[in-house]
This record gives sequence, structure tokens and C-alpha cells, in this order.
Amino acid sequence: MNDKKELYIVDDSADHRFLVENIFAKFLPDYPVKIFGGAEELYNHLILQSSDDYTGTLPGLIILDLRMPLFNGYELLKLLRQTPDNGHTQWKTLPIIMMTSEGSPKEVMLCYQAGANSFIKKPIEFQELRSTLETICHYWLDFNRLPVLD
Amino acid sequence: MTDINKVKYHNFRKSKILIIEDSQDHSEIIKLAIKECIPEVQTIIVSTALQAMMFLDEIVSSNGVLPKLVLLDLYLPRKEDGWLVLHKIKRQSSQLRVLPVIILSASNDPEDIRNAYDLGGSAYTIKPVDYSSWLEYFKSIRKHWMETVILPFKSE
Repeated sequence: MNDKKELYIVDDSADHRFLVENIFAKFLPDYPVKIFGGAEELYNHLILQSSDDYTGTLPGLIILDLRMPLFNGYELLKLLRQTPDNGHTQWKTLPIIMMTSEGSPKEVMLCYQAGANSFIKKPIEFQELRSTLETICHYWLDFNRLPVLD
Repeated sequence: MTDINKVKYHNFRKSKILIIEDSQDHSEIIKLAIKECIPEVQTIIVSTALQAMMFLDEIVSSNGVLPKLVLLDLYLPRKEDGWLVLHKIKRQSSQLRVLPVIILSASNDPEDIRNAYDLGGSAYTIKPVDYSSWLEYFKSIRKHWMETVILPFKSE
């Protein structure tokens, strides 16, 4: 089975982050989650983890909002995929799910081409959001085997 | 239609799943399990790396409809065969690059798992051992890949 890895969620909507936090607290308490407000915030955290002194848990899966104003989710996806795995960081092999509230077929294609593992539509309705997060957690963190750094 | 229903519409429309599996026994079980769990899709099974590439190349050159998902057994019978297929599908220039490739292997080797993701595999799953586990397997595939995820598609 996969050692306890954290799920990272990056979403620039404060309302949505609040909903997600509540869903995890109430319905998915067994899955450790970290929520970021933007791509830059996530990126800084990943840089911190890449240092030799870092001793915390590493991410097992990232759910990344596609469109965020300052630093775009798509740009971050490409940046992570271009960095070969080394030392503490495994950005190239880290499973990344792109998420968006409006997805054109072109954007979906571009993300898969850039190395996204999958793509989900951001559900706005509570039950759909809960169901989606449950499916994601069960599939990626229980059923699927995540890459491990030796 | 709610958001989720639009996703399902595109995922299930004219959908094929390509299975690359060299074991005859496993192929039979897979066919049955998919028929039970994801009856809406057409299942295509090939047993060698060469057959897989010929099948996919043919679709590309005739501008046909690509499968929605590929399930790839690593050891065909050697894992080099599996790596070859994955590499060819995922190399930069390939139109096949967008295809989600799910590795389906009996191997639990961490090295195999890492290589699969490194070469562009979307997910790595361990082969179930009995029929009821195969059913659980394809129920999970259906729930996640067909009903929740937006699979790549060409707009018409």
C-alpha cells in the first residue's frame, strides 16, 4: 500500500477552499490534505521540500486549478514536468490532476499533452464536490500505486 | 445537464478501451469483467507490443477515433516490451501522447512503478487475483476514469 502521503489542493477561490476543507474534515478525515491559495504558494512549498534538511511529509498527489490569475496552473504543470526527479523532489513523476470550472476541449488536450495524469471539472454543487473528492481519494491514494522516491 | 453529466456524455460516446495483455487467461477475465462493469464501451485486446503500435498507428493515419483509455500490462512477456509501448505512445511528437495509459501489472516493484510514471504512464495498478477483485477493479476504473475524469476528446 502507499505510505501516508499528502494530497495537495491548489485553488484560488477562498469560497471553494472553505468548502473543500469542510468536506475533508467531515467526510475524508483519514486523508491528510494541504490546501494552497495559488500556484506560487505551492511552488514555494515544493522548493522548501527540496532542501536536504526537510523532514516533513511529501505530496502524493496534487489537484491543481488550471486558471489562476498570477501564476497559471498550466505553466506550473509544465514547469514541474520539466524537472527530472532527484534527491527529495519527484516533480516529474508526481501525479497531478488538473481542475477547472470551465474546460474547453483544447485546454483539456493541452494539459494531457503537458503531462497531467487526469483532468476534472470543478463541481460547484456540494454533493458533487464531495463525491468527486471521495472518488479521487479512493482511486489515487488507496487503489492506485504512487511512485516512491528511494 | 449538470457538469458531471456532460463529462459522462463525452467519455462514453463511441468509446473504446484498448487492453494490451499477453496472457490469454487474463484477457478472457478482463473481457468478462469489462462487459459486466463498463458495458457501454467496445473492448479491444491485443497481445504484443507490435500489435498495439500497429493498431494505434493505423487509427492515427486514418484519422480515426482513438481509444479513451489504454490498459497496459508491463510484462509482454518482458517489461522491455511494455516500456517500449509506453515510450512510443508518450514521446513528444506522438499524437497518441494524450492517451491515458494505465499500467496493469502483477509487479509490485517500486522501480517498475517509478519508471511507469517517469515514462508518462497516468496510473499504476496491481493486477487483481480473483474474479470478484477484477470486478472491483473495473468498477473503480469506471467510477474514476469514465464518470469523474474528463478524458481527452476532439470537439465536433
